[in-house]
Amino acid sequence: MIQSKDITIGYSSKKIGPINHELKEGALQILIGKNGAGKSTFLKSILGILPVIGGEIRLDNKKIVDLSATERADQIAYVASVNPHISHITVTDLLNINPSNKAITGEHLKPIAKQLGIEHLLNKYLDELSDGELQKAYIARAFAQNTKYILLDEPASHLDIKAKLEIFLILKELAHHHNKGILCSSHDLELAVKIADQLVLLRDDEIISGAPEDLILNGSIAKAFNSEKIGFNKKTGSFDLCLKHHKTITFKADGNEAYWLEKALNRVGFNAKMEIHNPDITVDNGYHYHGYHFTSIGELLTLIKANG
Amino acid sequence: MSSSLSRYITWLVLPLLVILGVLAHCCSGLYGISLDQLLSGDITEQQILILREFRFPKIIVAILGGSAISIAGLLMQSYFRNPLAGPFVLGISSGASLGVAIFLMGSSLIPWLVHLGKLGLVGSAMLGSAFVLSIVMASAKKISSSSKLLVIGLMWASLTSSIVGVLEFFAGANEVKFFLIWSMGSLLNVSNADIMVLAPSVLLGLAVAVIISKKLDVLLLGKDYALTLGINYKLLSKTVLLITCLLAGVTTAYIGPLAFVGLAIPHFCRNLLKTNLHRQLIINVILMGAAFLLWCQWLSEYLFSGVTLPINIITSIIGAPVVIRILLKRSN
Repeated sequence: MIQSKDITIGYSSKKIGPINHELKEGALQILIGKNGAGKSTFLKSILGILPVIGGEIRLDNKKIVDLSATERADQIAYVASVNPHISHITVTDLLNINPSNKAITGEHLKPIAKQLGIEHLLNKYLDELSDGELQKAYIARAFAQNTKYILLDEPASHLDIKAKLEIFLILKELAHHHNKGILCSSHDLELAVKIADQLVLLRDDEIISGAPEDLILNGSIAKAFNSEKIGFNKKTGSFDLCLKHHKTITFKADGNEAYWLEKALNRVGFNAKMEIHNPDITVDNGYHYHGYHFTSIGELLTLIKANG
Repeated sequence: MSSSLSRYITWLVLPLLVILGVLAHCCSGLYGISLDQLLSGDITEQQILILREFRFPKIIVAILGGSAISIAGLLMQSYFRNPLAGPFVLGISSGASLGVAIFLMGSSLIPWLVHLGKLGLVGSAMLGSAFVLSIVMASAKKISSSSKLLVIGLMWASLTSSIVGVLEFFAGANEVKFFLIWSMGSLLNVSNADIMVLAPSVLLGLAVAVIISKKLDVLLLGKDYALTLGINYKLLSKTVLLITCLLAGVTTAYIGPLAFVGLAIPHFCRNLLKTNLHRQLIINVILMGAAFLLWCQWLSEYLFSGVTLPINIITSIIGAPVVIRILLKRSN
């Protein structure tokens, strides 16, 4: 277990803490917080890249400052947010860049590559990989380091949604099937809520950890992120825009159509309400609005906006 | 590249280029020694004297200097994670020149400097290169752009040459002449006694580079990764700084500032072997650096009969296009 006890982190100009936190093996923790909240600083402090100003971090009950760089490297691996597309280095070479390990070849290499879904990339050079493939290769490198814990600093921040999901699913696999303790910072709260075993919320110099559902229900997430224009929706686990609604419009619809019609009407500035009797809009093989018929929500909105 | 092909290059092609370079130097020159004579050992006393006193020192200096300056270039490229880094373009050679200029021309003001002899020359070159390299390393912490780093190196080169200009202005004619000849670069002014200093220094630097080769691979990933992979980063940085200064400083002291060799050779090796791993690169850079300088020296002496060109002319003709190629490739 990596245990942070009353640690103060940061720089002389900006200090964060005291913070208490625990990372156990077999769990995927996602670290969230606003820009500048100190997510990277927190990760780098645990890794020993930045010194801790106060308090102590313990790794399996030993003070982390008493461990040598090699002993730390044997226990904790790291994946950065942006990684270099180094020319003339293959994925296999990358997995072998570790001064304290013996060369990983053949039988040991394949299971790692298979786990990360990069078997077909092993002989490719890093500058030939897409951003998503590159991040997987760097996560594979961390996995190959064969540590109990892996810390990742926004590994999917610049990836498309498909690559992002793949990365998070890989991390979940590593935590649950390989018993790794994984702490990963992310800006994608909605995805984090769906996938993390625990959310670690860094907010106003304190850390709140717990199951995502608990942090949603007790209002911690809303308190950290809500603003005048953005509201966290406890029901959906996503953010809604707080738009000013000038007029009320009624509709009658079911299921998905009711959900998306309400969203669309809110988006263009109406306070949309479900009404069974004499609604303004009905849905029946298209959208009906005061005698007009439309095949799509887009067409309906165009007319409603034109009519004010 | 397949491992068998890279082994073929490392253990056959490059050593062959070095051996052919050595033979070419042995057999070329005003006093002819044929290859048959050389291989059969049927050579006169006078030929042995020529080989021992003139051709062997030149060959050994080319091998040591070429490999030393190329490894210094590789170390800097790895440390700065910048293929454009090299002793010449980052002003390290200029730093060494400044050290040598202060030593040579300062001796007219401070006479006891003369008593230090060649060792004083070597020490001042190393101090000069360490001074500029420390400043470039400190600057690199603040800027990530490789072209900006290059500009800083060029500015330092410009600044040091201005200081050298001031020294030249006040120095005596003999010192200025000696410095100008030195600054053109030549392998021909190194004696057997000088080799006794040059050889152990270069071999020590190369041996350390080989020993830390696995750690140098980690530098490719950047400082944060190095710190989390069990590397004592401060110690590694200081080691890289020290052996770069040792290799670049001692070589520059004896044969003058060599243009572009340190930049071009690691680049050629990476492209030829298609690898960036130091375990494979270092031996190839050593061999290619040695072969390159042997053949540049041969060209400078025998390209035009009766005239020996400064070796920097040849190295620049080959090296400068490499910089342009890298810049164009990076801008793409």
